Amino acid sequence: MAALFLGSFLALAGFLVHVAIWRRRRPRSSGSSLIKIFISTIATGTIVAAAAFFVFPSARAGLPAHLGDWIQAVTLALALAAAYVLTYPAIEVESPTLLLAELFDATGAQGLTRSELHRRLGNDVLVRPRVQDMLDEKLVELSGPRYLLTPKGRALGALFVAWRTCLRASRGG
Amino acid sequence: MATHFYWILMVGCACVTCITVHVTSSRLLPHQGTYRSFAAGSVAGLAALAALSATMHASAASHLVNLTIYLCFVYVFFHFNNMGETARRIRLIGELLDEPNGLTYVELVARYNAREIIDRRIDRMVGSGQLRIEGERFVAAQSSFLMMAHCMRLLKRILNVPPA
Repeated sequence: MAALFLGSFLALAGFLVHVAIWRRRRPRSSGSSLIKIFISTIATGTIVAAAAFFVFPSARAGLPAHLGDWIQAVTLALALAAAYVLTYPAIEVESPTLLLAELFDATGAQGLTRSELHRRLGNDVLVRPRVQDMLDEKLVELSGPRYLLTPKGRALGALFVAWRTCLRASRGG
Repeated sequence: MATHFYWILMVGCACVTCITVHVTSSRLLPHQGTYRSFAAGSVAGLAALAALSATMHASAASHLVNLTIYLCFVYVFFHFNNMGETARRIRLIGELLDEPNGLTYVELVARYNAREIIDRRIDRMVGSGQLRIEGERFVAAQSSFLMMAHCMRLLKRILNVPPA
C-alpha cells in the first residue's frame, strides 16, 4: 500500500509543480521542460522521503519497507508521469480530431460536408502551428526559407520510420 | 528479500508480451490495421500479467500497482503507435527526412496539408463509428471524442493555455 501511495503522491507532486510553472509562464520548449519537471520532482520527492525514512523512525510506517517496494513506487510515479507527458501535446495544440468533434457537436443534426470542413480548417490552423512547434522544440531549423531537420528531428524521424517498417505499416498522418 | 523484486519480472514479461504480440500480429495480418493488432497485444500482455500474478503471493495493493504500471505502459505504447499513425509532426518530419536539402513551407504543405489531415480523420471517424454519413454530410454519431475534447478544454483552463 505504501508503494501505491508514494508513487501516486510523487506523480501528483510533479503535476502540481507543472501547473504552478505553467500558470506563471509557459516555457517555450514545453515538451522537454515537462519531462525535466516530472523527473526532477520525482527524484527530489524520493530523496526527501528516503531521508525521512532514515531520520524519522515514526515516518517508516507510511513508507515502503524494502528496496524493491521503493523501486516499484518510483516506477509507478514515472509511469504515471510518462502517461501524462504523452497526453500533453493534445492539450497545448489543437488536435484535429477533437476540433472536428467539437465542430460536429456545434452543427448538430445538420452536420458538415467535406468542403465545408476544408473551408473552416485550413493550413494556418492545422499545419503552421505544428511547424512552429517543431522549430520551438528544435526538431527543425530554418536555413533561409527552407526547413531542415536538426539531428534531434532526424533521430526522432528515424525511430518512427524504423518502428513503422517493423510493423509493415504505411506512412501515417 | 528477492520476492520484493518479482514485480519487475512480472510487469516486464507483460510489457514484452504486449509488444511481441502487437508486432507479430501486425506483420502477419497487415490488413487488420495497427489499432487491432495493438489491442491484441494489450490483451495478451494483460493475460500474462494476470497469470504471473496468480502464481505470486503479494498484497492486493502491490498487484494494483503492477496493474497500474502495466496500464500506463499500454497507454504510453498506444500513444507511441498513434503518433506514428496520426501525428502531424511525425508526418512532417517524415517528409523532411526524404529531402536532405529541406523544404520551404509552400513545398511542405504541397506534400501534406489541411485537406489531407481532414480527409484522413473523417475517414477514421466514420470507420470507428464516431460519424455517420447522410448524403454528402457527416453527422456526429457518438460523443466519446467530444468528451475527450471537453477534458482537454478543462486542462487548458487549469494550465492557462490559450486556445490556438
